[in-house]
Amino acid sequence: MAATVGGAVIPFRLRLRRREQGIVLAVAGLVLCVAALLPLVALAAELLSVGTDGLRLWAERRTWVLLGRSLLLSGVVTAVALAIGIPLGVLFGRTDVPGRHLAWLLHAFPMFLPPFLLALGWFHLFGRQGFLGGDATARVLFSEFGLIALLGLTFAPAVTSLVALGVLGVDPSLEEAARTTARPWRVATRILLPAAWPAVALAAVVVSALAFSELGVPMFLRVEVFQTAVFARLGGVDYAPGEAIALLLPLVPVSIALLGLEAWLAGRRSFEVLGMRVRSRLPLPLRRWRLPASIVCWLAALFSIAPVLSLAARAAWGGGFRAASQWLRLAPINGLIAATASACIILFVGVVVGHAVARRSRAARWFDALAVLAFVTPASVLGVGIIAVWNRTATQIVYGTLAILVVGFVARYSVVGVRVFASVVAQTPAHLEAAAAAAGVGYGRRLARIVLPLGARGAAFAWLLAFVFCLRDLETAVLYYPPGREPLTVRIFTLEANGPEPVVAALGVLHVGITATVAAVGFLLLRRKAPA
Amino acid sequence: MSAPISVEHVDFHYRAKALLTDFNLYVEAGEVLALLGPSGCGKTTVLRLILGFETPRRGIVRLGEDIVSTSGAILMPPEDRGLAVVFQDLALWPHMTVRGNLTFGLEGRRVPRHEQHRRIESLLERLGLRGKELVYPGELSGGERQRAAIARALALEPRAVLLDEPLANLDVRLRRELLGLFRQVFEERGTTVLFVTHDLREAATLGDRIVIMEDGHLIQAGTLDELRATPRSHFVRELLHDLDACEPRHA
Repeated sequence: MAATVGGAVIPFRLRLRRREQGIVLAVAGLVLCVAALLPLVALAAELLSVGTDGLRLWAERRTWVLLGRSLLLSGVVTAVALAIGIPLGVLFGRTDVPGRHLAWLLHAFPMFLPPFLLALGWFHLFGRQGFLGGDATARVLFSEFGLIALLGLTFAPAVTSLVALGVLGVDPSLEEAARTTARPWRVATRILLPAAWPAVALAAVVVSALAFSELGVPMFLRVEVFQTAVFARLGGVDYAPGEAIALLLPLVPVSIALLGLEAWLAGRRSFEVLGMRVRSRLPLPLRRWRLPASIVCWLAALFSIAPVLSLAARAAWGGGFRAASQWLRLAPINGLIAATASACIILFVGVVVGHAVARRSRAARWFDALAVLAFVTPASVLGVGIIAVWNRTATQIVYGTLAILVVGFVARYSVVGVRVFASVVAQTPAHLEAAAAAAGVGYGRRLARIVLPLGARGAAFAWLLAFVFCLRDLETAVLYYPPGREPLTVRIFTLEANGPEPVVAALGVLHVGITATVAAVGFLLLRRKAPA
Repeated sequence: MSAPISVEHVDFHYRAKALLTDFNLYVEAGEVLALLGPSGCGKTTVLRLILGFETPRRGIVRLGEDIVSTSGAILMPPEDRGLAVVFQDLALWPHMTVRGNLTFGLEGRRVPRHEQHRRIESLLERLGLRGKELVYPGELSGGERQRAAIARALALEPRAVLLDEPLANLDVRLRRELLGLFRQVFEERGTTVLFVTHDLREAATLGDRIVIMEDGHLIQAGTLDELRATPRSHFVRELLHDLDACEPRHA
């Protein structure tokens, strides 16, 4: 097994080593294509076969009104989340608010929880029989206004965190050069925020994609949106899968528009801005604004954990914790197994594709775009595509087991691994790898001995983030979870309709506990000093 | 406008390590003082103390008549000190044009629009940046970036300009050309300048006086000839030896 070039014989091993990077990238890309591209292709084929019967829905005015309403709602939710998250991101990231790190942690924690769980918490606070509720608060909660407020509050921590990381990643000398001539407020608005603009843009795209995909909260608040109409035709009283597929048709351009928006507004620049290297410097002094700003920050933190506290109170009040074990089944184990397996696969894809993207590989850019597309594509679209691909007799070993959850999670959340690891690699000098390559070290060893050790904390962070995202997923899993093997989020969601309230609240608290434990252990490990 | 800078008996610690001990430095109004020392000797810390980004553990920092920092306290925030700084990486704001970079500080100090215009036009002309007003820093050449950074600092008509090795990344020819230009501009305007460097040649070209630092202490101060006459440490002797080896004296 040898080839000849110019008369010289090149051994197979050497040829393999030269193509090592291409082969590994192809394997990672294949994983991504099987998980994310196949469902989208299958869905496109299904759309073609729907015929005019399915398309008659589009002749109805109601369908267009629903679509317009959903787009408008997600736009308003994004605006609310940005309005809350941008100032908080600057306050938490760069100012001298006392205890800002703890306040940021408390404020950000709910973004690792399924939004409908938080909705449940707010319901126990402001519902008709809530701790602070009455008829009036319940009316507001169960309305479009309630949906916007609730989703805005739920997604604001994602904006806060991305903006805080963005402003922390800005070169300190840019800020200090400005501080010699301008007041802190002007430095924040004219230097820090524009320099962290890609992070803000990324936050806007992420929130609008999540808000448009959201299913659990609108269903819980009984506000009809496009996703609920699709879901009703897939498993509810309006069961009509053909119509569901036809309904998904306009969501394809929406996804492509979001993908284009992400590439235009944030794209590659977010790698440099959202670095994991937070450079130390003095915080911006708020001076006379310190007290009001501190009150705002701590109120935001309390507001974020208020629904969690209300869930705990509701569970304790009604003896939910005692009864919870009878209702649990294996849901927490199912969720943990699927999330662990998915996070490992996402890490592999993230390391290989993320590294290649940061080093400007053209093929990797396509894989990155696919990962972004799968994330911004509404969960219902991806879910229906996954059903179309895997719900066959020959593939029951996947569709009838937890493997189908893994496929869905890898499809939807690979972007987390790719983007986090790309950010890490983008900030590691390329010449470190070039020096190893010049010394004859192949791709695999460079990845294992140079890239991964230098980006170990980034890789651990990517795994943790992917794990938590998989654990909190409801929107995709609820469409195709195997019978009797639902993850905890789906279990809580299905019980919420007809299970005892204190038990549902207790299961919610259990979910919070699992997430908090995993996040705490992960962050404690990540905090350990990196090698110099 | 130019004011003297005075650092008096300053101690500064970072994570329990003493970086400066009983440190004293005086820069006269209108003087260009070069602060020279090996990497890690505390030069940049002195700069940051004067700028108000660090707090002295003991001692006083004075600008003109004002005490701006004292033991454990910053009495005047950085933006009110009337200083300008040029960092090693220049820190030109990448999202603003050259004009935007020059205007930002002037707007912050509420300089009237016509006065802003006058200062900017004069500096663009003097520093050879005419035609580059609407260009972003990323589109400038290395030398143009240095000139834009100096123009940004001088536009403020500051009480003093602090330079933190701003020419470190340039080739020798360009560095020499810019040193000559900056020297002229500072002299014309009578600007007080504290110039941090680890290159004796640069220090001698730009500085009226040279101050040598080692391990957080001031070792020696004087003109190049004074240093040559009585070098007080091994480090100073080495610097002079390197300088002489590179530039053979003319008969």
